[in-house]
Formats: sequence, structure tokens, C-alpha cells
Amino acid sequence: MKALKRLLQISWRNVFRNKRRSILTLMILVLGSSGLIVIGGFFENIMEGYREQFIHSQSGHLQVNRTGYFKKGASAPLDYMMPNAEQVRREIEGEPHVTFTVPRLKFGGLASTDNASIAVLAVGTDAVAEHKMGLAKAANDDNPSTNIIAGNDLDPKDTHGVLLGKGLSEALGVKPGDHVTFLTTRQAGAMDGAEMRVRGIFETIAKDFDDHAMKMNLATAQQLLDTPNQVHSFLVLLDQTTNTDLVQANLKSKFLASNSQLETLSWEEQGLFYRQSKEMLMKIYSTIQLIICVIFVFSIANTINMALFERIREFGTMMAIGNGRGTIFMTIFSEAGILGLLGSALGITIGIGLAHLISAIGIEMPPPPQSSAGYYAMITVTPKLVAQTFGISMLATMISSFFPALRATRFRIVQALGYV
Amino acid sequence: MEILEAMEVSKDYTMGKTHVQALKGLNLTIHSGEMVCIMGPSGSGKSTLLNLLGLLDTPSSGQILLQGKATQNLPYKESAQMRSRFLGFIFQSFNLFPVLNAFENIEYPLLFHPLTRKERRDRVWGALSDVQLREVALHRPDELSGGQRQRVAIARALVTHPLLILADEPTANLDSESAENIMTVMQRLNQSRKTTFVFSTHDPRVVHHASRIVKITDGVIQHEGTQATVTNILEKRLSQ
Repeated sequence: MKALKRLLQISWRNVFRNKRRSILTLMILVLGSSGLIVIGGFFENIMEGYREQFIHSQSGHLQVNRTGYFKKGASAPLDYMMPNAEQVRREIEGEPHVTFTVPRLKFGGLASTDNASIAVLAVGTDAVAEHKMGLAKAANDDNPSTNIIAGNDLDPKDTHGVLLGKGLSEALGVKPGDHVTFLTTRQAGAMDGAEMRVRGIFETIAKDFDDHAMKMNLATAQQLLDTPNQVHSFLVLLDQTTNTDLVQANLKSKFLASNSQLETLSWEEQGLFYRQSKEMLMKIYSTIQLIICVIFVFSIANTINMALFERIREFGTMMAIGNGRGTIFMTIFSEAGILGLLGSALGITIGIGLAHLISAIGIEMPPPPQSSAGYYAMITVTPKLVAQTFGISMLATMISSFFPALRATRFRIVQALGYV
Repeated sequence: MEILEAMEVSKDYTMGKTHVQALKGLNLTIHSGEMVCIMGPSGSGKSTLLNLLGLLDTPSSGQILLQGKATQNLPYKESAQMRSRFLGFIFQSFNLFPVLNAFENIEYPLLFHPLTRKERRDRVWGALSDVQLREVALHRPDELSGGQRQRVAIARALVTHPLLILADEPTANLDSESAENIMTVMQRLNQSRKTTFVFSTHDPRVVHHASRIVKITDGVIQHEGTQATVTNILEKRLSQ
């Protein structure tokens, strides 16, 4: 222990023996680590923003529906109705961490005006719960997840009032107060239609959804389809997104035990675009990490190698007075470790500081793919990101010092003592 | 009592394309309490012999016995342990650790010995007293004179209470006054503490501190004995 303490003391002092060289190496480590924090935090923020908006505008944290609905429901929505909806809702809302549910009844139809007829995705929903869900804002956005950009939100008392997505309203050429004729197929196969009044226009992060969606009161949708008290799914909203896996597991086991023929899908399972975007960003970030790691390795290896050749005689002396090869190895290894530790700690601290500064200002971003609204990006620093950055710095340090340290242990004492 | 014995020791090595036979079947015995001077011109094999005696290198043939134990085939770890336990080293260029102060330099070899902190500190202060350097204990090597640095190196070699201290040209980098001081310190320690010293030199001014002189030329011992004996032999040879 005393030897290790003294070894670290010697290493610490050796790190600052050639101040200029060590400071240069530290600067590389600091720049790299802070860069990783800022870039990683930027990507994290993009994904976090998209995730929260997706959850609160479309998917909920979880979606409970009849087994098979998610994959095949689009082609035959009426085959996947949930007849005992109220009982299912009570079961879901009885779970810890569940704050509320939003019922959904989705079906296709045709919306017509004097000028255009467009196939739409009708979404029957609980106006109050839908409003509550849509109000949530992502941390990096001033707008709610479902932004009413014109008119008003759904009103349970206004049975024929509908909300149109921004793209759909533009395609139909309508504004709040205008009327739209909506036609659909009832459960029995007959056509049904109704004259709807546009109450408002909404915008979400998903342009594709906004181009086709028409939201209406659940009771109106059930009446049009002739499916009273039935829904396709419940969106489940939780107190924290991080509780998604836990509640999903609980619901799955509950439905399995009661043989309810219900499936529970997380927001991530529903969000193909999210998954693909995340995968792409993670690949880009991994490449950046790799490049920075290589820069770290070369710069630290250069410093350690130069220090090694300047001090060969010193290592010879250490071996002469009885130090084992392990001590020599540890001396060099710990010097690199101290450099890595200092560099990454400083870099991470500066990176976090920069993240706060940038977040306070915000980075104006154009609408992402498949979206219609721009936003202000920020830098989200997570414990995982900090741990990853620290891990990369330390890994680079270990790699870069391993071979020089190994080489030092192989010096012949006599040669090392006579080295000039 | 015999501490160290070199038996028919030879050392060959290659420098570029040249094959060098540094030592040629040399025999030497070091007894406890001696102060042996290995003398000879540059390239005579003095340093090679000291390296072999200090277990820093292995002979090409022959044996080195430390306290009767053959050392030439010891694994690195065991050899390092023997150096740490039984031997002390003083180098021509002092070889102090520049980032440690005098006290820490002297304490360094003790960190690998089973001693308490107090025992360690007592030994370091004792060694500093022996070389009369207590007042510069907290100075780093670059704040010390050459003579002071070499005295720190002596204290570092002394502090583990070794059987034998090997000094390779300890005065070569010192002015004559400092060289005399260093040799006086070593001689005093030899006489008062019975510390055994083997030092190499080509400086005739420091030879008189030795109790025995071993004159080496071209890897073989030419003469061996007290200073008077060796001087007589050399004078006779000159007169012939």
C-alpha cells in the first residue's frame, strides 16, 4: 500500500515534469472529451425531443390493443375491436406509474369538400385525455406535442367538430369553421357519412400523420362505425418515460394471466422511424467516438514514449535497487492513467459547462425528416454519456500506455543504466 | 566471512560486428567489512565486473555466489529481491529520482521492505545523519551540489542495511574536493559501521581509501592486495 501510494505520488509528479508536453496532451484530452459530451448530448437531445413528442402525440408510453392489431389492424381494423374496453382501461389505470389512458379508435374514410376528396385516417379519441396528452412539451420545444395552430381543440360536447392535421387541412383547402363531408364503412359493411365541422388545425412532429389524420370525439367515431363502447387501443401515459419497461412487463404478465388476448407495445416498438433515426445517430456518434479515441491513443502514446526514452536510466535505477517489472509497468501505466483521468475529468466538466451554455442559447434546427416543425436543439447530458466519455478516455489511455510500459519492463538493467 | 565470490567469471558481448571479451575467467572474493577498490583503465572491465557482482547482469560463464548461493540462473524476480535485500548501489551519475526530494529518494528502497512508517523514517534520518545531509532533506536533486547528490545516493544505498554496497566510479563526476569528501564518508561508514564497499575508479587520488586494491587490465586481474603491495609491484615492474 505504501509502495503504491508512493508510486502514485511519483507518477503524479512525473506527469508535470515536462509541463508543456503534458499540458498539450491534456488539452487534446480535454477538447476530445468535451467534444464527445457536446456532440453526444446534442444527439441525445434530438432523440429525446423526438421521443417525447412521438409519445405525447401518437404512441403514448405504451399502447394496449388486441393481439395482432399493430401488425395487421390497418387492413382490417374492425377485426381487432376491444369489446371490454372499460374493464381493460380500469386494469391499466390500476397499475403503478400509470397517470392516465387515452382510448383510440382508428379507421379509414374519405373526407370531401367542394374542391377535393382525400383518404383520411380518422382517429376517435377522448377529447379531454387527448388534450392532456398533447399538452406535454419536449424539453427542447416551446410548442406542445400536439400544437393547435388554428381554431380550438376537440370539445366532447361538439359531437361533429373535428381536428384536421396541418397537411390534410391544406390539401382540402379548409380552415376552422369550414365543413367537411366524411364517409366511412360501418361494421356491417354499409357506407355511412356525416357532415363534420372543422374546429381546429393541429401539427405534430410527424408530417405523415399530419397529412392524413382527422381527430374526432370517440363517441362520434363509435357511432359512425356502429361499434358502441368499443375501441382499438388505449394509449398509456406514465409518470416517467424510464418506467416504460417496468409497466410494460407488469401489463404483459397481467394480460397473460387473464388470457385477455391483449398485447402491450412500447413507444419504441411502435416508432420505426425513431429506431432507425436512433440507430443512424448512434452509428455516427460511434464513428466520432472511434476517431477521437484514436487521436487520444496517438497523442498519449507519443507523450508516454517520449517520457519513457528520457527516463530509461531512471527505470534502470529502479530495477537495480530491486523493483520488480510490475512496478516499472505500473509506474508508466499510472502516469498515463493520471493524464487520462485529469484530461477526461476536465474535459467532461468543460463539456457539461458548454452543454449548459449552449442549452441556454439553443440551436435553431430545421424540421427533421418526416416532420413539419423546426425546433431549438439543446444539449442533454446523461450519466450514461458521461460514463461513456470517461470510459473512452480511460480506455485510450490504457491502450496507449500498455505497450510502452511493457517495453520498459523488458529493458536490460545494464543497458538501461548506461542509456544516454 | 565471505559475502560474494566470483568464480572463473567471463563476460562476452557483441558491439555491432565486434565481439568483445570483457572479463576472462576472473576470480574474486569479497569479505565482510572490506573496502575494495577495483582499479583499471577505461575498457578494462571494471564496470562489467561490478554489474556482475551486483546481479545487474549475468556472466557468460563462471559463477557469482552471494552468501554462498549461485546467482547466475536466478529468475528476474528472485534476483531483484536479492538486490533489494543484500545490495546497495551508488552510480557515477548519482541516478537520483528528480521528482523526489533527498528524504524521499533515500526512503524509496525501503518502501519494498516490511517496515513500519516510523522504522522507515528513523532509518532515513539515520542515513541522512551518516552522510551529514539532514539540513537538505527536503531539497530535490536539482537543488543540491554534485557532492551532496552523491551523498544522498550513498544514504540511499546504505538505508536498507545491505551486506555490500557497490559503487561504480562514484567520484568520476565530482571535483577533487567533493570526490575526497565522498570517499571519506564511505571510508568512515566502512570503519564505523563495518559496511562493505566495492568501488571502481581510475582516479589514483582516491585509491588510498581502500583496504584492498584489485587492478584489472583487459578483463583479467593483474594485481591484488593492499595499496602498499600493489604500489610495490607496480614500482618493481617499472624499474625492470
